[in-house]
Amino acid sequence: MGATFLFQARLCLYGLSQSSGIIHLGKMCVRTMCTKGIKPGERKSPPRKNDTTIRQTESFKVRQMPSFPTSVFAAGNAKRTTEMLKRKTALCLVCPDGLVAPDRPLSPTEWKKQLEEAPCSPERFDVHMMTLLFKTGAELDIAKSLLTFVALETGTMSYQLLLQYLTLCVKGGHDAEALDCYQIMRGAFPALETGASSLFIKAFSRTESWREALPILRDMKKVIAPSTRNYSDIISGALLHGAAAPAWQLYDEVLGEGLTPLPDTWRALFEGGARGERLLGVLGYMRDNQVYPERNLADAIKTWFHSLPGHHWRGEWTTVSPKGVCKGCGSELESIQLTPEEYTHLEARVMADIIQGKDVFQKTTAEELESFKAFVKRKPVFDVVVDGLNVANIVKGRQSEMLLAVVCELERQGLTSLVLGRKHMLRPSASWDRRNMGLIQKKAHCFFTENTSEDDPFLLYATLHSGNHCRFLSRDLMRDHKACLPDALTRRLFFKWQRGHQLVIHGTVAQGRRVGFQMISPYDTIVQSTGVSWHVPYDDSVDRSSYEVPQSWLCLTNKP
Amino acid sequence: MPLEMMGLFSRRVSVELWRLWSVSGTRHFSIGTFPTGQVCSSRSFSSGRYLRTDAFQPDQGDKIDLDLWKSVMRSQTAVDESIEEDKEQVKKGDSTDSPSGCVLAATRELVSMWRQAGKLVPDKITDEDVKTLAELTTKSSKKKYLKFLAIREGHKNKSKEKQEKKRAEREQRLAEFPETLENRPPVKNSFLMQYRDHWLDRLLGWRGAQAMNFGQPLVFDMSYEAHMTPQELTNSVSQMLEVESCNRRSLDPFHLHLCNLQPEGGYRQQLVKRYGEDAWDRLLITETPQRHVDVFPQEQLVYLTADSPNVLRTFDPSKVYVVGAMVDRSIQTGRSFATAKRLQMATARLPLDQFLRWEIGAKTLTLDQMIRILLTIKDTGSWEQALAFVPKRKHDGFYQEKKQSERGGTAGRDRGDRYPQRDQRERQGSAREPWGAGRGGQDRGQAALRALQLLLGSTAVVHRRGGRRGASLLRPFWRRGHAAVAADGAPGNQNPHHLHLGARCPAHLAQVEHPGRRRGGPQGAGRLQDERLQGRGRGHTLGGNLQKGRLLVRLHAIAWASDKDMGST
Repeated sequence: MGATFLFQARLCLYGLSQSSGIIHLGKMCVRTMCTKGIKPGERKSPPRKNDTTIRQTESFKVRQMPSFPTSVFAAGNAKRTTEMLKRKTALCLVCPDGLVAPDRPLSPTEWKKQLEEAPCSPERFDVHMMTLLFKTGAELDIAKSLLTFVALETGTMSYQLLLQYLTLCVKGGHDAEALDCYQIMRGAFPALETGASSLFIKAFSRTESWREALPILRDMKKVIAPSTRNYSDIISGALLHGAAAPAWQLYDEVLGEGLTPLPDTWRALFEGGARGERLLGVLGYMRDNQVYPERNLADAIKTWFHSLPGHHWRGEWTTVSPKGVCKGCGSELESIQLTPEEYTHLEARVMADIIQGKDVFQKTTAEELESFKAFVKRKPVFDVVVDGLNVANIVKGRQSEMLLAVVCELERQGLTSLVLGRKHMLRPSASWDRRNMGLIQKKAHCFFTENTSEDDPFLLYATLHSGNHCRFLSRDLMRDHKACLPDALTRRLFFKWQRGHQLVIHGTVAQGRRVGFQMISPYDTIVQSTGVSWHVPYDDSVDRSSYEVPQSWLCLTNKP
Repeated sequence: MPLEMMGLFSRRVSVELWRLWSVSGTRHFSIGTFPTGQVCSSRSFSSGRYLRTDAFQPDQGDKIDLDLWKSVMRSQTAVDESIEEDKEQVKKGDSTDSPSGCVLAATRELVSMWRQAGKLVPDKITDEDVKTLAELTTKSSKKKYLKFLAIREGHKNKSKEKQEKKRAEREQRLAEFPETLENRPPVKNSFLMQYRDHWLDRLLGWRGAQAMNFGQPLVFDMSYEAHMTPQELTNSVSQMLEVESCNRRSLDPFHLHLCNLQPEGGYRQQLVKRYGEDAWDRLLITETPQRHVDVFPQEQLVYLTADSPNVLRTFDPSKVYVVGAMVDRSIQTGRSFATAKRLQMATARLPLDQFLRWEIGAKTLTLDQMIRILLTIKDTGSWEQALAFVPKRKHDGFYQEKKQSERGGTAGRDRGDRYPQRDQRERQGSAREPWGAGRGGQDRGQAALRALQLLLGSTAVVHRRGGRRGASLLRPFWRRGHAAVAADGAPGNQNPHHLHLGARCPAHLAQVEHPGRRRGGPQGAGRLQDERLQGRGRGHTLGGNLQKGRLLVRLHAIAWASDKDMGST
């Protein structure tokens, strides 16, 4: 029973996180899907009259059979169940089987008949039916007739039922109905919970009376930080009705809360127009926070630039050449190199936060760090720092050969290189050939850390310490180290530096072939302006990871 | 309340009422008395405007008034508001004006509304919980916390229900058969004296005191409080409780040291809260705010950490092992290893890879698993037995067993079992041991002996000359070679007394010997003096058809007798 309960709770919560009010209704039906420990008598709902209990039991038996045709121990049963549950939870709204939504508004007498025939508890009939109506996208009139029936039958209505009805209204765009609902719910219940508040904010923002949403938001703030979605709804509502000042005030509030505004908010702001400086400020925010707008937001930006009076902005969807030249206007984009101040800042932060952190012993030891610092000071400035283990492990089985090939290539290009590794590499074995390791140590500077230390932080330190020209060779995306940096600004700097300084081996390396490296792009992918032009990289693919940057650009030029 | 009552009436009556209403257009409709005779407050129904437009016409069939529910709800609102206004006036007097009180009230309201919206929320919530809830910053964290509370409440309610049910049953039974002198169930006549809980406590306490004097220290490093979330801290405190109880009940407990336990820290506060002030003070463990390196010589300490490069192959009783008392749900690799590196301590990890076919999960273990492993390895010296406490889901059996089965032929293969060798042993055992009918005969025998040991606070020593049946019961002990050591009175054995169990020894069921006395002599001072026991001793075997439970009862008695004996001599 415990497992069932937990599962049920999880499912409920899962549902809730997906959408607002109605989802938790799956409880009862979900319970019937679990085979473990279900007895009709164990239900949480209060005891009912005899006849209903009996019907419940019967329907329970009938419903359980078809879903589990085989024993729980039969092969593949668990997987099948998981998939079935996934399918069910994907719908979020689970209704008892056999419940049929009517296709027209019913009179109370007809509803009564439905209730008597329904395969679920009469107490939950209204809620289940409303869920079903929502799921099937039924007309509002049917829902209304259900409410009328419930009101006549019981003389009142549960909050849950009204909340579902409200969801149906808001989803169907029946805003006037939602406003009526607001009056009723405000009157009938002492307060509104977050789900209803969010729905009302959404409904109000779409109507003339959008200002009504502001007190709701204020009430919400008492207990919970409103979501960016709530803010976004009101901002769009305000701008839709031409009230720019409160919209911008709310936008400032979002930023003040430390939240990232939704793309919808920005789109509303750009579509709302006017206030040139503020909108340029938005672009500045995108630049500072490395935000890449999606295509529809980029569209809005383009339209806004076009609409600016007194200017002749021309927007173009374009790409950038590998050298960093915009194919639209032919101008060169910003360099990826850091300024000297940024560089010093980053170097200090990397030392303090990535290598030492709160506890220097976490990644290395104090003595080892000191000896490494002395080592770096003693050696000449490096051109390339190689993550020995990472490079070597590209080819399993002949690690030392791979490393030697890379070191030879670097030597051939006349670069001073440092190979970082761990001490176990010096112990001859099949993977770590003694002769190869000897050659590597001759051709490059080598530093081997303790086996229990991490080598990546040393790599970063050595690269940063050798100056701006120095690069590092590794496939590692260094995300765990980036996460050690405390503030967003330094993390962005680190990412920028990483994109400009990380070499990655190109393709697979065959024996005896030369090693090639992936090109480092010389330009920075970020929203940028030169005064007469704006370049906005935008996101046109859905599956971009957080460590990747978009490849398509919006080029805006002001040509008189 | 006409509308609420509507549900009580039959369908037809309610329709008639509605018609009456709409036709007459009554502005004030009230029913003064409830049909049952109870007086209920009459509420004025003053929504005439809606009523006129929303008149309910059930008999017109096709046309259904869809907005009727609104008028119903509004009429309720009108009534409710007047009540609420009164309430508010009352409230204004005592409502807390402080912002914190306001937040708490709002949070409470939110919880109640979430409950109405059908979310997983507890029915009752204490002020303390509301406070915790209000401090949580995000909506999801609030929801999670409420879910946790709701689940906990469910468990509580369930157990309460069970208790109620039991009580009701008992009362019913008593009502049916009142307990009179004649009616009382007969007192069981037994030669055994009841074994009382506090006797066991005293025995365990005695053993704990022994451990504190002479036992091997085991250090728990409590310095990781800062690296844990409140939930993790709670979990680790629970695990520490289990550690202590495991250790207390074990045959040869460690001397537990809780180092780095800050007097004002959350760790100690929670421990004291869970144990209770008195019980914590009585606990036979050592707590200290000092570091382990200050308490023990550096060369004795070995930090057990999963990140260590060194494998602990043999358990060294002369070392002091340190376990980091930390629960890290998101695994913090190298946290305790960093501590060991900083303090330049020797480190070791358990030989998990050497013995187990590791399958899934990190090689981190809970604290109670850790102490079970350490206690077992100390007792038995066998990693196979000790590492049986590693969760089974994480590995696929022991390496060695696989190898032996491959060598040993088809013993386990035909059944396709994971532990072929054990199965084989079990089958042999169950053939010979009468109480082992079914699976796990040996395990059960072992469990009985283990319980025996725990109860007696002594090492069971087995007479090899005992009968075959008894011998097979006690065989596991010979295998370990443990019993023999104890019998010889090897140094380091500080047990208060040895118990000799001779399964078929004539004239006595058990013989108690004290350290330093000659072993097993018939005139031994430790010989049981209890007449009844001696009288029945002849011919009784420990094997026979004894069930585990009955065996234990018998052993309880012996333990008691031996205790008494100790006192008298």
